[in-house]
Amino acid sequence: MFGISGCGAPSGDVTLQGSGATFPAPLYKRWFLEYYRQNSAFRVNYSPIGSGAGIRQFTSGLVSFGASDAGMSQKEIAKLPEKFGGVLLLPMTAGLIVLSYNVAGVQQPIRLSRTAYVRMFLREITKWNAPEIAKDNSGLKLPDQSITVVTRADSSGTTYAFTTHMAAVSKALGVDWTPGVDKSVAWKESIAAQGNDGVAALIQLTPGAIGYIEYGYAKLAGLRMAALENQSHSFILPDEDGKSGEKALEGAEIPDDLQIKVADPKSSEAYPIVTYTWILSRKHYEDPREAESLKTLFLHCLEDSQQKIAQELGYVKMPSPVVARLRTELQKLTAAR
Amino acid sequence: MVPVTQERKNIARPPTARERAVDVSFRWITRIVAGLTAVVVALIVILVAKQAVPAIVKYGPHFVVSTHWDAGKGQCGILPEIVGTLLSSTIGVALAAVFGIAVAVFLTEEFIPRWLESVLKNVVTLLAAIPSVVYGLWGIFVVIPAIRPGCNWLHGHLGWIPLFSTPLLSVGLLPAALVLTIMILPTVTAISRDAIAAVDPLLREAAFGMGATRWETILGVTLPTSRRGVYGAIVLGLGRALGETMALAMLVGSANVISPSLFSPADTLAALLANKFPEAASPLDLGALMYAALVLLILTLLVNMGGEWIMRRDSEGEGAKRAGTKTGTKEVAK
Repeated sequence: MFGISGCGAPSGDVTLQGSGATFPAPLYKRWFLEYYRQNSAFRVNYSPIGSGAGIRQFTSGLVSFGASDAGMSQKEIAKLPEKFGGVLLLPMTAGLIVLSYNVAGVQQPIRLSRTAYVRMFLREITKWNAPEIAKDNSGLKLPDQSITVVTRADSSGTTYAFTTHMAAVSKALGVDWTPGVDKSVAWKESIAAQGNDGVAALIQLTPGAIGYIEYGYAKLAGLRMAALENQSHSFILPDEDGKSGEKALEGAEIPDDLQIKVADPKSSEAYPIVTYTWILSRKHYEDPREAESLKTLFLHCLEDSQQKIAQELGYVKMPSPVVARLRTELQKLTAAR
Repeated sequence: MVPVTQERKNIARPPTARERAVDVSFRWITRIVAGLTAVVVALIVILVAKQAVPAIVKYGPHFVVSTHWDAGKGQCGILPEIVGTLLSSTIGVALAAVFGIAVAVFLTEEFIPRWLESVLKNVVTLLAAIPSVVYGLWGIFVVIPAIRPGCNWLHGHLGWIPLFSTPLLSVGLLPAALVLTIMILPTVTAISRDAIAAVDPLLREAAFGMGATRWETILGVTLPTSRRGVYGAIVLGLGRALGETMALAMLVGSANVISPSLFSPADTLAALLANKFPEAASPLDLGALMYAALVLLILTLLVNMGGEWIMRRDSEGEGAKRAGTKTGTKEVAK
């Protein structure tokens, strides 16, 4: 929503509204607050209502910009109103998806091979002391405990990114990934909760649980995270400074629509499950000030100082070619003629 | 001082035009408001049904007997949710009825001093003021850890009984039903308390006078006399239990399974709607959810009609008895 606030504020103040993904919400809120501090005539509100709802509100013109962890599908893009002049999909940051678990008495991080974690989510491995898990964890005393899979009850970009990765790995392993790839899939035998924080709470509560959540939420809840085997067969832990995530993003092909997919990164130092998250902006805004404000804001978020904030909050620093490409892409954001 | 004659004259006068206008407009306002209530209910049903049309066309009646939900692949079925809704509500209402009626009797039959009665009554009513989310959190952090050891002992020792055939992991049917019990307790208690309190004291005294013990009086006279009100309380409680959303979405586990076990995770219709609605994008996805909402509406309606039928059948019998014995028991307001 674009408007001039009327409550005694000096004229020329701009308030913009965005909504969408929950995954980058802590970062967006921080960015927009920082920007407001430097530039008090410009205020941005962000409502984390989920990627799907964000796309819907963006399409219906209720908000200035949307945000989605799954980008936008061709079908969704086709539904956009003509006056938008098209959509800019801007990957603003990236994050790790971790496998968190609740296994009592195991101090060291559990190492999970590609076969092991795919088959856990397919419910083919159902005990923590199964030979497929034990063979990579010779030093650990794994309990004879049932595995409970915890998933998302709501439709989410995190699920989309996670199933994209699982499908890619399954294909490489020659396994049939039955749940498919979507924002919401039919899991076999799982318990489910709403939101990243809901899944984190449920893992904490359920002995023997394993579930997928965004790194920041797992860290906040103090959950243990598994070291996962990547494509080059090294076991990688999700790390504090995001180096393993940066490795995963390196060298990924940048398609024209900027919907960069890193389903199964190749680098031997890469953490295997990483996803970009996108801001959805119109190409043309009717109000020239709205266009100018958003362009300035997005360019500001790409600056090194702001990307450093992303790193501090547990997100992954974007590779410089992507940032350079985004700067050029943002020149397309203009006022409607 | 006003002269007496003046006052009489005032009382006897015909209504003024203004008073008549007030009368007529009041009558119309009540009619319109009452009509609007019905219109709102009808509109809700129509709008839900209209949005459900794409899904009704695509899935048909198979929707309510199929067990698989995968909107992305165009497969939708809500049998597990229907079963989960009925099971959790039935368990919740059964427990709430036992506790609620016991509390209502305790609060009306002079077991404790008056002032303590009113304190306890307010405490029970306060339960209704607690937000659903708080109940959900309380279930997660208090109820589940408290009942888990007992449940898992039952599973370990009596696991061959289908009711205990799975362990209680964390979220599941039983914790959801227990929290539901507490949530509908104030409804059941408050209404049955009013019904029991409305029983004519003469009846009670007569029972005592005939030498009945307190037990006999409560079970033989007070409760049977107030049963219409108590039924009403239970039906209202059941209605609330069927539609309860947030706490159940947090506690039931949102698992698409049908299991005879009390400890197994399950799902309910309201929880399914709450979980899937925010991101339902296509008309078909939305339609499937609206279809589920329609089923929930019908389910609630059937339950209410069932309750009404039981009450009516019961009061018919009562009327016959009354006519036969010619003793007028005081009618208890529902």
